[in-house]
Amino acid sequence: MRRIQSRVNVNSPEYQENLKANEVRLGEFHRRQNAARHERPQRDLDRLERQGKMLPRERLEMLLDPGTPFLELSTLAAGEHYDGDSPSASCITGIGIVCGREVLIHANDSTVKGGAWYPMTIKKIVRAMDIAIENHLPVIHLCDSAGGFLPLQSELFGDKYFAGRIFRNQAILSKMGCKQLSLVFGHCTAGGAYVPALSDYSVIVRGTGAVFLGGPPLVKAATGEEVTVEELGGADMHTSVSGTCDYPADTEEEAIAIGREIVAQWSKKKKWDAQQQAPEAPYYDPKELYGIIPANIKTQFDMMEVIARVVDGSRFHEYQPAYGKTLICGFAHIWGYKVGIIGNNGILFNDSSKKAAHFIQLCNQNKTPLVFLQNITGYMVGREYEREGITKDGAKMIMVQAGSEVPKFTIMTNGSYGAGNYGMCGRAFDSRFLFSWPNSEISVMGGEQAAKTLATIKTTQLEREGKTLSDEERAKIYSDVTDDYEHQSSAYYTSSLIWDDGIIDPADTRNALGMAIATAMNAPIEDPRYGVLRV
Amino acid sequence: MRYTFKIGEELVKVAPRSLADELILAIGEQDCRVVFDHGREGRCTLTLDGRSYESWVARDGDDIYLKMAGHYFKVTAIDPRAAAAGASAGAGAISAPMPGVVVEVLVAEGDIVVEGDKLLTIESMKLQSTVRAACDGVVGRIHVSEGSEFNKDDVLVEIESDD
Repeated sequence: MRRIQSRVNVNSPEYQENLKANEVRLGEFHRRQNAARHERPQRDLDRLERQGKMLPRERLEMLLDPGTPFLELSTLAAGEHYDGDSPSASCITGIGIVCGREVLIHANDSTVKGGAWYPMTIKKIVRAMDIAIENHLPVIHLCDSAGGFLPLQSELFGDKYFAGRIFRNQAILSKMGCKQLSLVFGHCTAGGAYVPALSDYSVIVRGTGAVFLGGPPLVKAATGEEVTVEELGGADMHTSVSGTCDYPADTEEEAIAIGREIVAQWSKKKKWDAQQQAPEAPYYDPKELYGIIPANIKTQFDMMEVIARVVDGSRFHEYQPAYGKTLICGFAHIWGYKVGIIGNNGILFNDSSKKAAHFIQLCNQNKTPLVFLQNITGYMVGREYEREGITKDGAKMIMVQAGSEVPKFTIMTNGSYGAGNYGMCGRAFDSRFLFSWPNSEISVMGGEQAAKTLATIKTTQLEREGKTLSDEERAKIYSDVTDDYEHQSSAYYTSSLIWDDGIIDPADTRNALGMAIATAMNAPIEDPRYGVLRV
Repeated sequence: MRYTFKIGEELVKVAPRSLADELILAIGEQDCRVVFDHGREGRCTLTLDGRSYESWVARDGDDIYLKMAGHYFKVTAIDPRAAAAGASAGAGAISAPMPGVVVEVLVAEGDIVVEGDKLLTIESMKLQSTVRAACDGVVGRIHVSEGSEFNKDDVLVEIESDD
């Protein structure tokens, strides 16, 4: 495969301007990430120490194989919600290696409101378990949660994808043969009690671990019975009397050691036999992406330069290099895995949409996973294009992409607006993993146009109510609407809503994709089958 | 499969085929039998038609340097795809890839430009892109100015080749 010839000039003023802007963005990203992971009020840390508990990340470090990577998901979930009261949505999820086996980790974070589940906590756990289902992964639950966060119970209980879905997913995973282990470090109350109960194996720590449908205060209120935590659902009761849990442990360290020994007994599943070769580092430095990603989101950049900094040896076999050139399609390797790459280099036209549909079919027939690099302002509009059938050509791309059976991976590199988000495998289209760059934006239409539309509606409404608006008032309405719209389009906001699996440093894209692809190979790739195409 | 190598200034076409431990290279009308033993640090033994030579090989990107029997050779494999990639679009009119509006005109008529120089910034469908010179030359007529709207295939600017 031929190496991509980069045209980037690292000494050019544009490169330097972009570099400056992206260094600021990265600084902000790392600051937020660090805060979500580590910054907690001192009283909460003191409480954990009094209880003799480890921090959730210390537990994780003890559990995972030394020196192996951990692909953490949605670190900035809930970051822009609940006034920041639920950093990382009060839990850690991700894919790590335990005793040489890829496992999905779901760990409660009891440094935040006793590990109570906010609505976003549940969304994040359900998403993590969906990942386990889609990729046939075993799951390890690190349980330490006070249960649902009561003040917001109407947003977390009762609907299809709310708390019940966690337990439904556990049952489905078990039915599929995906093993589950619960390490009970703290209380598992009410619904939370089902996490260890629905696991194949569970270890519970004496003194701090407890599992019950209702805690002592609830029991007293319900029946008048007075009972201690240990009697009601402690380690010894459950491991010697009820059989709800399997192994008692004296300390958290011991529980983790037992847990690792349990995982070591699990059969190692054979992975999908993917097309693979020895990995090769990119020829062009991935850190040069900081000088390529534009300072201004409206500025066009060459996606080929991004591909050159993601794929093995910067080598790329471009498919249809002369047709539908606003969309790049082609084959490459990422960490040795053969992939098909689809990247935007402009607006989607009739030809580029048809090219995408064809290329996706080629990859499905070849069982080649697909990587989508999104930077899309949409499908072309206008009379000429409608007459050429831009809507039905876009529909073809969506039909084939949605019907695709190969694992799909999406990176939000810059803008993602309107129907382009759909065609390029946005969140609704079941990418196995979707990651965003800190600079990226998602919205139903471009910020400026949307803000103009919204501001016009607002001013018209006020005028209809008989108010006369000065120019300053008009300008203020416009700037308020723009600020709101920009904020809600930002990667921090959409990642807070878990529209992705996390924000990543652009230079880490190759590593994140490498782990994601390796993870996806735990599930077989089915034969392709599509809906009806409007040809 | 046939390869083309550049050895010094000479282009040599070579068709290899393997036979047991030997490699038979068809070079022009002639067959040459080669055995290649890798040693350490670039040292190797090359046996050509039964005669052995102590040799040294070093690689630098796509170039291979070979020392053999007191002679130095620089060998470059010619990639048939590379020639196609090098061809540029040439001089002439640059027309609009899609309807849009001109954001900025970055050159004036008569300016000397080299391939890749920025000529115009245009905006279409919320995306700003740069129109660049496809070859070295002189800026001819500029058909648009800042703020002017254009349709697909409208000529934006002309470049006259300086050949």
